[in-house]
Amino acid sequence: MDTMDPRERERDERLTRMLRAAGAEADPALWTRARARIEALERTPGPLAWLMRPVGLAGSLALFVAAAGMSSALLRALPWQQPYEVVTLTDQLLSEGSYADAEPPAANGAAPGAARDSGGMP
Amino acid sequence: MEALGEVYRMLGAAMLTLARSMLRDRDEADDIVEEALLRIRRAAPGFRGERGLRTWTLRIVANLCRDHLRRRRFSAGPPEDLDPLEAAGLRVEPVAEWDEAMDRRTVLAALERAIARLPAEQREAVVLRDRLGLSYEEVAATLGVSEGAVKSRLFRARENLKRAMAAWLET
Repeated sequence: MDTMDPRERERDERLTRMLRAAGAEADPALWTRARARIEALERTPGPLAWLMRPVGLAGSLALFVAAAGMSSALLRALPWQQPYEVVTLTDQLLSEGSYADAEPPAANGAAPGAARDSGGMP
Repeated sequence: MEALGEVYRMLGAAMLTLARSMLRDRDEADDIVEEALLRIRRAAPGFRGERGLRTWTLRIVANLCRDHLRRRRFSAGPPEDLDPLEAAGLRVEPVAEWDEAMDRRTVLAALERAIARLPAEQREAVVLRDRLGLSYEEVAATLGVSEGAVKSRLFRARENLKRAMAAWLET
């Protein structure tokens, strides 16, 4: 059962009429263009189409390699590279040289170069 | 090729009405329809006729329009003061039951602006059902959704349009 009130129904029908009142017609020029495009696609000979794929792929790969090379060169040339050489703690200690040959520290906290205690009574 | 020409003769107006109403830009819509014809040509061997030629064809156009709108999401879109019918390439159809007290072009320009403000899913439903006259079943098949979803989208679309067009609907 239709429960819509007559006023609402009238508004609804009027909106439908408005919506139906605009449209487009088939444009013959568009069909001519589409037809020419399809015919051009179909005219491309098979072997040529087959050859175009690896050529396209090789072209893309060459572009990628060139772009990667340029990016890498640019990054290396940038001034924000670290101004010092990065070394590990072990490398640093070894490079300071005397560490391995150094005298072992004196026992009982005696100053280096002090006479050793003979152990006898004074 | 002759078969494709026949498809365009039969359905070209519907394809263009859908694309122009969805995109509101005549040139972009024409490019979409041209692309749709190429796809129809490629997909023709797989056509089984389960959904009917009109539904199948309009589905291709609707999908292309959706993809295009997705890509265009961040662009500014046409300016408000532009004549929306002219920009979209839509013409005013002679309608027998038009209320002669209303200036047809002004009303339809306002209606196009209101349609343009609808979300895309409501817009495609209202164009397919109310402008092209497809059945609920055909709209559902074209959009790849259930009939329930179509009815719900249409209800919301029409409520939005009634609000936007209140001044002309009350006269």
